[in-house]
Amino acid sequence: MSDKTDVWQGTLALMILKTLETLGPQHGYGIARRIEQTSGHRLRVHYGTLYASLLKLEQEGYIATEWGTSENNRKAKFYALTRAGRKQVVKAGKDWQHVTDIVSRFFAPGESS
Amino acid sequence: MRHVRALLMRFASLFGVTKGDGELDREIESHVQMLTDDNLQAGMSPAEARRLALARFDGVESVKEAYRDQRGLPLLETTLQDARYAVRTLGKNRSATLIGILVMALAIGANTAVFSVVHAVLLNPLPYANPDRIVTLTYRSTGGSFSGNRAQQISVPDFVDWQAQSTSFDAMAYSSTGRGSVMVGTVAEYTVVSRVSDGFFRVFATQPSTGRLFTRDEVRDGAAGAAVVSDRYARQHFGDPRRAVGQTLRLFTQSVPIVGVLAPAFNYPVDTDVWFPADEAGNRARQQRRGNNFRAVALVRGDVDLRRAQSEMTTISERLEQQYPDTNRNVRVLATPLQREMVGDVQSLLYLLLAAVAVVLLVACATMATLLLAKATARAPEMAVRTALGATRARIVKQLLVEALVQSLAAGVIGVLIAVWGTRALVAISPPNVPRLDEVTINGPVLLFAVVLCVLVSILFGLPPALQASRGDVHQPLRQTASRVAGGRGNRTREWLVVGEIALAVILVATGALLVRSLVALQHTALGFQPANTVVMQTTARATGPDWVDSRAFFRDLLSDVSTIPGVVAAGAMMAPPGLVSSESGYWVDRMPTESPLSSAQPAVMNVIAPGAFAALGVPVRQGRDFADSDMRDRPQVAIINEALAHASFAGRDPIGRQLYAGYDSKDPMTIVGVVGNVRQYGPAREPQPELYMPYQQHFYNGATLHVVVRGAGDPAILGAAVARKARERAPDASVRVTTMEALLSEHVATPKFRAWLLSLFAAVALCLAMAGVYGVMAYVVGQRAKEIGVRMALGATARSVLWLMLGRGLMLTGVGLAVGVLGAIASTRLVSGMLFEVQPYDAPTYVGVVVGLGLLSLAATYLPARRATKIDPLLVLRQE
Repeated sequence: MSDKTDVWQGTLALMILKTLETLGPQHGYGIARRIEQTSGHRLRVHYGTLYASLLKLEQEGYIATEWGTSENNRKAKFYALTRAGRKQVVKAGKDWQHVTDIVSRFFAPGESS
Repeated sequence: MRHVRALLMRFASLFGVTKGDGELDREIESHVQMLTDDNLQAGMSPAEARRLALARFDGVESVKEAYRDQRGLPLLETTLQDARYAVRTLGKNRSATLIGILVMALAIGANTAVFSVVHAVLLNPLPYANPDRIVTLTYRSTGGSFSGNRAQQISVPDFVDWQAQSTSFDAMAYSSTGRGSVMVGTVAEYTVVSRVSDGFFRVFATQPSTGRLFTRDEVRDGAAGAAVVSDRYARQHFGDPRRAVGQTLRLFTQSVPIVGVLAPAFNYPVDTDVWFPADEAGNRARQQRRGNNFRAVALVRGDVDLRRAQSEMTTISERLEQQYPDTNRNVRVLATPLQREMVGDVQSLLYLLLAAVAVVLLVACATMATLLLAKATARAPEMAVRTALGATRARIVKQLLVEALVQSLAAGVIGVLIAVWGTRALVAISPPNVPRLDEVTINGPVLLFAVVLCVLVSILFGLPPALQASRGDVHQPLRQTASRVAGGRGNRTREWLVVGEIALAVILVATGALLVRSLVALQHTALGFQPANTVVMQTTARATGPDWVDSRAFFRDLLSDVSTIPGVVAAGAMMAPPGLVSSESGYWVDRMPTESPLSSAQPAVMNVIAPGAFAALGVPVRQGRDFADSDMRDRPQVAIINEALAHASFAGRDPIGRQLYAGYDSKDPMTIVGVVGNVRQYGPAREPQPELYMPYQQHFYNGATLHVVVRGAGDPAILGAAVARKARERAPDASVRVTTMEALLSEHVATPKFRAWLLSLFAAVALCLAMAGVYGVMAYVVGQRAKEIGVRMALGATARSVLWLMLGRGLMLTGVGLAVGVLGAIASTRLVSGMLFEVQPYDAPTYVGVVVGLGLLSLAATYLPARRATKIDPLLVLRQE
């Protein structure tokens, strides 16, 4: 457990959105499991942060919720991207790419101009 | 946008609009179920699967907590919760809370009241279309004996040149204002009348509420055609503004129809009730470049800033100086925003009051803080419990600040009520020179000020105790009343606050004392005349001929009538009695220069006077004689000078028989026939100036209006009525205004009296609060150290040594406070030096008096609790342990 990293501040929302874009409507547990899988189990999702983050995205209108039934017949609350949410994934993805490009330049070997 | 949406949803959740905790519980339950299912599939036992699933949640409650924080607005929720709690806590200690709230309410009320006046008079823009672009144009002298003087009145020829040469203004106009005798129906009364030139109403971009303004023809033709009246005048005389239009005003022989009524807010020149068109053509033809009898206003163009307008006027006045060196040497033009011009000296008066009430507020805050600090110590266990239960320091500080805010808001509500009353009181006792008092109300900005004040104040008095209470060690207060020995940081804060209170009180009391001493000195100044038992009646004679020559017969007859009234000792008349003098002009000795720039003349007050006026005023004739009825128009011109003029121009030599020139209505020499004592022409605050008196039968430039002055035995009111009756018998339609010399004088001390009284009041309040603070702290210290004192006494300390132990602390604080206060007062009373009369800002006796007085009071406030300390029964105290 000690070799796992907590999710960095601010990136969780992006991961949630991207997950929902990939998987379609998904419940909280599914989202958490998917994020941890995608990270190759190097990330550990704190559930308190996850649900607060989901609520925040809902308040901001990026996702909508609905109660449904899970794959093994459990009642669960499903989260799905709204139209604004889909736009936000594209935009946030670009922004993220932009930031990582810049930061990676600082760590690029031998290039100092 | 997204943020706003989120905020709205969070706010809505406060009222239970969104789904509550139940839904979250179900969601978490389903999450745990699914996690458990997966764990089971991984081969765990059911119990183990469920346990691990729950463990993975790191405490379900903390997840819920994070969720709730995101759902609602935790800051707002806890604040409301704190407020509810504060109301309950404050309610428990009702009398202390009430006293605190009342103290703060008084302070907030006083501040709000003063601010409402400051707002209306100084801050609120004038009620015209472009208030910041309206300026007055006045003269400033840059050399000669009038150097540095400002003259508000200007001449028409100069104005005409300004108007022709300047480009910075949209409109420019001149006006002349005076009290004229105006008749409506059969009643004549003195009315403030202004004659205004063509652009006047354009400067203010004003429109009449009824009727119309002047037409160009009316302005060009002069005073014949039309009158515009104020809303107030229309209501007073005709009941309704609409009924005023079409009515007729009479000025002695002339009838003028009212063509329009102005909007209620229009008030320029200040207090004007009737506006006539100026006789522009006549003024152009007859007015001289030295006839400074007009006031100029202008509207600066929207795309020109004031500095550029000013520099243009400076250029023009320099050009005029070249062109007319005789009259315009050293004369410059000043463009001053109208509001600043109107406010004048009142600004410093109002800022003084604002500063004084602000100090009262600070003292009140300090007193509140000391009281709350004492309470904070008592509440230490409560805070310790809260801390132990997990409250952070910020949370506790916030809770206590909310408590302070609740108190200060309650105080604010009462304070605004007090301010409603206080504002009315302030307006009622304001000196007459404060403009725009009718606009003073508790309006939006004033209320906003009160609210901001409440918040500020709650931080000021709430923060020290809040920091103190939250600093607490968790364990110490919980161990019951352990080790209550003197010292600790709370005490130190309290002591600093007391030092501050005393220092602020010293500053206010010293300022108040200086102003009161100035007032007393002012009221006991030798004026040079005897104001008691003297009636002054302004009246205007009907003059039919040119140049008002025939008005003099009316006054001569009236004076002989008045002298028959029983009890009359002396009667005379003059243009400007002491206190009503407003300007000076120049004179020359022995010869009049052919080129006669005013700057080569000696300045003196010019007066026109009838025989008997000196006797009526009680002004002694030191040399020579008073004027007589024989000093007529066809006789050689004579003059009387005062001692100041004799000293200025004839030091040591005999002035009788010498000749003076003033060039008013004749260029003939005036032979000095008498010297009279000095009077303070500008009121008691200003030294007597040189004055030149001319007989009323030889000079007529003042027009048909004179002030009759009558000295007589008995009630001045009865005497005044009798004098007015005599005037009405001679001229039934004459306007008269009767007052007494003492009433005129009181107008001059109205401002000093106003500020001395208010400052004393504020100083007294600050003093009481500071003493309450000293008493409170000492009483608290005694209570806190009761056990220690008990032990000391049990070990043999005498009552005397205990008394000194307690007194010593208090006296040290007082001493420091007094010292700081005196230093502060020396620094700050310099700011009021312009308001002092015959007292220096660092007047030693005043300071000694203040220090001794405050020291004794503070000693008393310390002594009472200290003595209680000596009454402590050691047995009783020790048994309590």
